[in-house]
Amino acid sequence: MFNFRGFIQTIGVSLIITMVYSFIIGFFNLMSVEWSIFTTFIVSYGSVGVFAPLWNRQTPYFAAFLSAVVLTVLNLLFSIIVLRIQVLAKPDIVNENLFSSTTFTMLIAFLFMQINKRIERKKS
Amino acid sequence: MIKTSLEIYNRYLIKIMMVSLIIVIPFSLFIYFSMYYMYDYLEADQYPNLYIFFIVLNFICIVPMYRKLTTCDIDGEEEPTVWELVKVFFEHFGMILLISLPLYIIAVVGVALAFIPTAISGGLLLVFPFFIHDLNFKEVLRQTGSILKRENIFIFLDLIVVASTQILIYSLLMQAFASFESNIYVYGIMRAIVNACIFPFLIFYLTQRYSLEE
Repeated sequence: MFNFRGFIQTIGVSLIITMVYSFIIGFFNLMSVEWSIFTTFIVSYGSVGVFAPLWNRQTPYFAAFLSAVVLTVLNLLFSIIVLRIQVLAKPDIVNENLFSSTTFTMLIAFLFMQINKRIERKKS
Repeated sequence: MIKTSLEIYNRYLIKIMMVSLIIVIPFSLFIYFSMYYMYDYLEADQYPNLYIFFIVLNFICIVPMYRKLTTCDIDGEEEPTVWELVKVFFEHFGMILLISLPLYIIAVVGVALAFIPTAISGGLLLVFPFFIHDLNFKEVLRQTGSILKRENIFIFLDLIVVASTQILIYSLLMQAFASFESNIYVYGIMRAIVNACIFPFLIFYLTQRYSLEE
């Protein structure tokens, strides 16, 4: 069964982590623009990849995939409505965005599941 | 009920201070500075509704933590540790965002209809965080509806109390800073401290009003 509450929790916690991380990065001016975007990408989608299997034990990969897609769409909507950047005018960028985020999230989810399985095997 | 909430405030003072330091003050500061940032950098088109939504979120997101503290105190359960309270905040953040965003959009759009949808969704926005801990999504909506039916017009009294206490205490404290050369940081930090002091009391009171009086 797909756990809807766990799915929403994943997105919320990932949003909080992204906010805190980008606030710290921006406040102390630690890196250049490219590096800060890249590390923010890694942190936000990596946290999705870790938390989605944690709160959706029965359908881990589907939950990770759906959370990544929802977060990407939220990003696109925010950049269109609030920042007035016409993202949907360039389909290539949207495609690249969705592809990279889902791939990275699924990769992290797969690694997390493998590590989790190994830990549980060691315990038993 | 006010006496009981004062007692709870007194009994868990250290815990409330810890939670304020970890969650409430940074969260309020973040929301205040993000409002300032948006106001400064989005010169072409401003979103006044977005700022009010941030202020609403600031109150709503903190409700589940203190609600748990109150129910644990009144039911005589084991008192929660600080880490458990912090975890409650993180668990319910996504759900609160999901429910409050459509409600707030309805409220903003409904201004044209003589403020009737605005009033109804304002009441819903005030009540639903007290039932967000329920695992069943349908149960959350059902209980919110039952409270709205039971209290009907007095919900707005609560809404006015929540809004006006904040404004009153904030403006009273600002009188002390009026003669100094204050900048944005002073106002932000003042705002965060006021939130940390008042919110627990309001939430203890409202929890007893809604969830325990069947």
